[in-house]
Amino acid sequence: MRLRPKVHASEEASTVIRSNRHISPARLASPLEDDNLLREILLRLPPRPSSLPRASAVCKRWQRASTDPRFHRQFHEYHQKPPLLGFFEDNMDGIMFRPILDHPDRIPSQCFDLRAHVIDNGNLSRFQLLGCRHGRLLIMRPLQQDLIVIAPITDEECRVSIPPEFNKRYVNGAVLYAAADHGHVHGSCHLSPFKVVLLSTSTYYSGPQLVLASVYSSEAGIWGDVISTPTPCELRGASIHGSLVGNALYWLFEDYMIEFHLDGHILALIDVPPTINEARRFLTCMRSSRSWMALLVSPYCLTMTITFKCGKGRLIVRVLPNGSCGRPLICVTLMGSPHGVKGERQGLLFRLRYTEDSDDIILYVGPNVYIIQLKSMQSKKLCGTRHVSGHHSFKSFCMPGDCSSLVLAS
Amino acid sequence: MATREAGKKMIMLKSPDGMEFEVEEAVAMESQTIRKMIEDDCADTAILIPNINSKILSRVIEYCNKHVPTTGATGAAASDTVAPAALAEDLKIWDAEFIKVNRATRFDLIQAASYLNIKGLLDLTSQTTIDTISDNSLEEIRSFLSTKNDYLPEEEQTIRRENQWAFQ
Repeated sequence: MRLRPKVHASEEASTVIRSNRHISPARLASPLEDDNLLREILLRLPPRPSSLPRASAVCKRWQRASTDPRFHRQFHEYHQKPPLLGFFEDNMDGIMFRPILDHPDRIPSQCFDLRAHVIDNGNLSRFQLLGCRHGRLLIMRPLQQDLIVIAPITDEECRVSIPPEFNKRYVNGAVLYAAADHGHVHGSCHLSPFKVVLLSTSTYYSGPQLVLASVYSSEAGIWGDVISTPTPCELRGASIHGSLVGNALYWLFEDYMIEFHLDGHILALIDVPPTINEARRFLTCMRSSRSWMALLVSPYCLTMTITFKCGKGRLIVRVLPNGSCGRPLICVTLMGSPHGVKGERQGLLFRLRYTEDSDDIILYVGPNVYIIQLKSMQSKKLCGTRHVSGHHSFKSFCMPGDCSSLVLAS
Repeated sequence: MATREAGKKMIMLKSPDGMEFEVEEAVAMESQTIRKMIEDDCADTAILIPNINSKILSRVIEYCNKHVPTTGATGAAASDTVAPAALAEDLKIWDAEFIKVNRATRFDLIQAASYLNIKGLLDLTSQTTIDTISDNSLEEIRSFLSTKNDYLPEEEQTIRRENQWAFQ
């Protein structure tokens, strides 16, 4: 490049640039005075829960920008992945929200109070949290043989009767945004139509015979046909969560994985090589990318083991392929030793759960829940828990009582 | 008129205060606005860029010159070329130095980046602005950005009450 500044304006004719982007007739003292540019800047706010509520309190111009539904859509598109706000925990006290973020992003449990939905006491036979995805919870009431789908952000609920074919059977299920398979940008999923996939392998009284599956569409308001395939394995209760991988749901258990394709509603049983048995207790879910899917079923890591080595107030977790040989797949130091863990041990009480749509692993060690970011290999203790399998991660860009509901006094 | 120099097509950019900058066409085309003019064949002479003074325009050109793809390819494909990791890291360091400017200059760069539709520069300038305020109190944000609080005290209280947890 050669800069050739001239002191005097050139006499030769010039093309005057034409820009239809944010033309300011008069130069503004600050881009913040231009609504379009203000939005452009506010888009870059971190996708943390407190960002937009705080921005809306700066001044009225910021309030108008940060509460506009169009801006919210842009914000979701820009950031793509909604933040993990916490977990819904299915425990003796009911279904509770457990926040994991620090202040000022820590949304109190009371903001997601499900008592209004009669999900309020510890009678475990009364309800089960089957799944949580795309801003919705899927709760089953076995006695009533119905499902309650709740969007905690808006408190909207939808009650759906379970098809009679599923009566007196163990039921697993998943809820998802109706068009999750078409390049959907997560953001306001909880406002959009949803699907419920129900799955059952056995009755209360007999062993496994048939896997049944059926899909409910909120748009149509009806269940699709119940499809089935013979199965030698059995899912009891909702402790094994389904994972959405691409456009299919997977439940991993015993020597098989059940695969349910959302396109065409195809049900299949996938053989899992016997070596996965050693690992299967720990790998309750799969991550959503196909590469991890491949990794899971590749012989390389099927015999994955985890060893714990305690130092002073530290816990070193190493996930190794093929027994104890080779380079660790994961090696992280967790701060704070779980109670009762001493020395070096293998196969301590723990579970791994891959979070869908992100590179995180949720790790249960002793009474604590940790999150490990695979990219950075950083770990963080999220919360303590007595319920290893009852956690359903909840991600959303939107907040309860979102500032979009604010109306300025004019 | 566009000229040729060392086999590269050059283009003249003019600021309203009478300065002229001769730059390679590929550099100028980092601006999507200029790219469209060139592709539509509307840029047969020098291009006058109103609203952007020579000081800011020279910084913008400096940015574009650094960020123009260095591969031999030209046209649309060139800007899609993924830079190798080392090059990306180098650009990141360079960007961090480039954006060490005062607030007024950064604001001018934001307006220029938007006007000329230079996505990378808009990203850099906007993100830097957000980074300077993201961990600050409301009062500090208003002070840093010279933004006036036009809420009545009771209006601000209402907003804070609505999402009390976000202000703890």
